[in-house]
Amino acid sequence: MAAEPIRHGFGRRVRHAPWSAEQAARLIVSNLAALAGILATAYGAASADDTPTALVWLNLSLAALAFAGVSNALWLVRVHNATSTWRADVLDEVATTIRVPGTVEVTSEGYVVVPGLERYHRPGCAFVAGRATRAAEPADAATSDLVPCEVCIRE
Amino acid sequence: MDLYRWLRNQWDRTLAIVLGLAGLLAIYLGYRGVRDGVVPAEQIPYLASGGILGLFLLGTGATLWLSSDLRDEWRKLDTLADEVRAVGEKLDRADGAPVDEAPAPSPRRRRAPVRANGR
Repeated sequence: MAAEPIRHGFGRRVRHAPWSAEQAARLIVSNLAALAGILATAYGAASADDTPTALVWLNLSLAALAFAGVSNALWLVRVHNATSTWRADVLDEVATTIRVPGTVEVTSEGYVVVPGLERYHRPGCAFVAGRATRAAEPADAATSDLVPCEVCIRE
Repeated sequence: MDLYRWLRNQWDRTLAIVLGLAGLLAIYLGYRGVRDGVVPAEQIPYLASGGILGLFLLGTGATLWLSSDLRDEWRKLDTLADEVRAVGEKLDRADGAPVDEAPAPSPRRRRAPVRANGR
């Protein structure tokens, strides 16, 4: 069976369902086997001459039903776990991508930086609105690569 | 909405409903057979065919229905992930807006590792 594209990182091309084709095929085969078992045991029970023999067939039928039940339950647990993991990953990405306004940290000097970027800003600057920031002292700018924002800091 | 299109799009839910109805019918027919039987040897085959088969069909239908619910959630999360990624790229582009320079890698772009096979 050809391998289906599997999710290996956030946002990449992925499967369209929380199961692989192999898992789905396994579920179908196990249910068909259980169905065949139930039908065969029903036929056996109908052909039985006495009650004890019919009861043996009935027990076998129950075993086939239990097999189907376990198979379906395992499938649901697997699919539920895959969906839960994907949900957690997406929500984590949402949390790290989108910050609500009001997270700006203001120092006595009133400058902030967005980690990883090269400019420091005033907290009210449009370029840091709603962004995750940390405090930045103007003195740091002299000894680091930080440069003032041309929009909010005019010297 | 066109019924045929709905049935085609929701094939798993349609199949779940069909299996559920078939299961109920099998249980009813099994009940009738058991009710009309005189000795246990006559009743047990109806129990095995009608009762057990009916339960199997109901269980399989319920599994299909729950699976389709989870698949729908999976697809909605996929859509949400695409939208979040688009927003993140827009924000990254805005990082370098004051001057012409590429923004440094932001911790916002950190990706949560996702295990293969969705787990």
